[in-house]
This record gives sequence, C-alpha cells and structure tokens, in this order.
Amino acid sequence: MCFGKLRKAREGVSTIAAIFMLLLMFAAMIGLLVAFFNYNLSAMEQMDIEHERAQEKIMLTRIEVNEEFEVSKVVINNTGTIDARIRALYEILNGETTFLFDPSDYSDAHIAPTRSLVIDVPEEIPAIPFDDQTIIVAATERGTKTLDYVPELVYGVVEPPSNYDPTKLYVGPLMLKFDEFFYHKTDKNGNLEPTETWQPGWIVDEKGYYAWKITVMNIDDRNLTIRRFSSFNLVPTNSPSVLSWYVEPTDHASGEQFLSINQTETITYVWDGPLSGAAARLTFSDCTCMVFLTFFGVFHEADGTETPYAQTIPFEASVTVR
Amino acid sequence: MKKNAKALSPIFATLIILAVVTVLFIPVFIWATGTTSQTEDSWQTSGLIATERVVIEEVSMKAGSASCTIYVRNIGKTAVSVENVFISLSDGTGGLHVYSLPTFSVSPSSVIQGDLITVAFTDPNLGFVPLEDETYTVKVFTTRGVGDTYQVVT
Repeated sequence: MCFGKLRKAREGVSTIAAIFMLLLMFAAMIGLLVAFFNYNLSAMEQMDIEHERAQEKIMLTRIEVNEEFEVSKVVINNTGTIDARIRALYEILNGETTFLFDPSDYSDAHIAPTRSLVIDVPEEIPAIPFDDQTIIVAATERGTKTLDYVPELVYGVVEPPSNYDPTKLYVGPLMLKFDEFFYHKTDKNGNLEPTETWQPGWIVDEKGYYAWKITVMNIDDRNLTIRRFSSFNLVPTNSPSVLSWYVEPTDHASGEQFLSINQTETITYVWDGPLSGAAARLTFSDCTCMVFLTFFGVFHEADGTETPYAQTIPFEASVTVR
Repeated sequence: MKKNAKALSPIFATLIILAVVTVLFIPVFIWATGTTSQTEDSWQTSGLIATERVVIEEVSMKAGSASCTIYVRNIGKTAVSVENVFISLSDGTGGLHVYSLPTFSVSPSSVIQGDLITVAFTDPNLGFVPLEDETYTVKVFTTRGVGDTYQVVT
C-alpha cells in the first residue's frame, strides 16, 4: 500500500531532485568560474609584469671617486620608457660578486624615464676602493640590470660638499651656529672685564667696549685659516654707518686662526682694526643693528697649496642696543 | 493494516520521499563538491604560479672556491621561498648538482615582490670546486617550482 502511495508521489521526487541538482550545478559552476577568473586575472597580472619589465632599461653612466680613490657616487640613467626603482648595487671584481647596498634604503631611488639618479655611497657602507677591473652593476625592483657600458669616471668632488644644506642660510665653508652668539665687556685695550661674563649677544644694554664671540663649523672638505682682516660688523637699521670688530686670532703672532674640517670653533672679535691693540667701541644707542660677518683667509688644499678664501655671513638675528 | 495504510497521507509520503532523496543526495553532493573544489584548488595554484616570478640577479662563483652566493629577486606578486638549486656545466658535461635546503642558507626565508633573497653556499657545501674559464648554469627554484636560470663564467 505504502509503495502505491510512493508511486503516486513520484512527481514530487523529480521536483525535489531537480532542485537539488540545480543547486549543485549552480554552486559548482560559480566556484569554477570564480577560480577560473582568478587564474585569468593572475595570468594577466604576470603579463603586465613582463610587459613593464620589457620597457625598463637603465644605464650606469658615471662613477665618482673621492681623494682616497673610493667610489663616492654612482649616476644611473633611466633609458627606458617606464619608471624604475634601483634596489641593488653590486660590485664584481675578479669573478666575485658582492652585494653593496640597496639605495632605496637610504633615499628615494625612483628614476623617471630619461632622468638620472645620483646615488651617494652611504657612510655606513664599507669603503669601495675603485679598481679599473671593478664592474659596478645596478639592478631595479623588476630585476633589470644596468647595461654593459663603461661609465665615465670622475675623480674628486665636482659638486659642493654634501654637508652644505640648501635649506640653511649660508653659502661657503663656514656654517654659523646661530644660537651661540655672545658679548663680553672689555676695557679699551681689549682685555675682558674680569667682573663680567659672556652674555647672549642679541641685546646690549649700553654703549662701551665689547668683545663678540660667535661659533662656526668648517663644513668644507679642506682645512682653512682665517686672517686678521676678518671682522664682525654692525649696521644700524636707521643709519648707513658701520661699526667693525676685527678678529682676535688664536695665533696672535701670525694673526691667523686655523679652522679644521668638521670642527666647531669659536671666533672672538675685539679690535677696532686688524690686530690694532685697541678695542672697538660700541657707539650706537637706541637702535637695532644687522650683523654681517666677513671672513678672509686661505684654504689648505690636499697638495699643500693654498687657495684664497673669503665669505660673508649675513646674520639672521640683529643686535638691539638700548 | 489496510486501515492503517490508508492513514498514510500524501504529505507523509512526500516527507519520506524527501528524506530518502536527501540521504541519497549526500554522497553525490560530497563527490561533486570534492571534484569542483579540487578543480578550484588547481586553478588557484595555477594562479599563484602564474604570478610567481623570480630572477637571478647575480651569481658569485669563483674558480677554485667551493662556495657560491646567488642573489635572487622576487618580481612576481606572490611571496616566494627558495627551495632548490641546480648547478651544472653549461656544456652538459660533469653532471648535475642538485641542492635543497639546508645544504645552502637562504636569507630572508621568504620575500615579497621587489625584495632580494641571498642564497649562500659556504665552503664546502657546494660539493665541487668550480674550474677556471668554465661556464656554469645555475637554476633556482621556489617551493612551487617556479625558477630562473643564470649562466656564470668562472
């Protein structure tokens, strides 16, 4: 009896089975389609990578070496038609390849098409002695290496030393430390008043004999000597007159002060003329003055010769005399 | 019995049929989803392999020294790990040297797109001493079998 009923309900069987089959088919179809499209997308991405790689071309055009004949800079041209990012520099010498460093760790290493990138060898990288057998190879993020090309070799520093910061207001080898500026009362012979101390130099209370002290750093790559004509000059904003204090050199006999590379030194100004023996006197009152520092001297070149040197530093701050 | 049989309503019969069909459908469902998921996995793996790409940037191999350093860059979209290295003479003589971890060191173990892997063989792990003025073919393979080839003259 039961089977008779089952037979009667066979239409229901086909409907339910059909629904199940449809669901199964849809699920399977969707799963397969998603997987297939993902694969297709991946394949297209890979084709894009290969296409970009084919457009990438870089050339090492220049190697700069310093006085110690160590590689200091490398210049790479992007001769391709797509942005490149330099990710590795290698040195090949006597069949041995050494990974030097990843330039992108130190600065922006992207190069636009037709542009160049100057890579400075960082100080923390061991020195790379230049050898005419050495081959420097650069590689990009896409694995493209520099073409086999003999780069131009440049000896010595052809650009301003890297210590020069264009965002700061100085041009020349002496960098002023603006916040270390002092005055000290003196007698008319230039002797510091023993009862007084060095005071911040921006505001001076009264007329009188004063010594000025500034702090500078030699940021050139050469030692230099400043001479007795170097001076500290006050120019009132309400008058065209100038008052000058000449340097009190550390070597009084020669009238010179030696300033070595990367050293911070103080310079004192006392005299009304170059080593005159008479202190300069501040004669202005109730005014604000601009400050100019003028330096004269010589650079000591690596070959032992001397080159003339002069520099003017317009002081950012001003001196107010009450 | 007859009276009892008459008591079976068409609704009850349908429910029984539904249960029977469901029970029968379960193995079919498992088989079908298994098959499709295998196919899906296969597509996914193919997709990963399609986006996996490494290039050998440099090889440091010197005649007379049983050490070697290989610099490999990942330029594909997939993170990669190096698993095998093959080295042979390019002219086919001398046999094929097959290496797998930990015969060599890999640093870092896995890298993303754009990064560099250093594969280093310390002396004597290379197992042979490269001869002078010979060209060697170096092949590096990732865990998914994607690789690159580089020829180096010692």
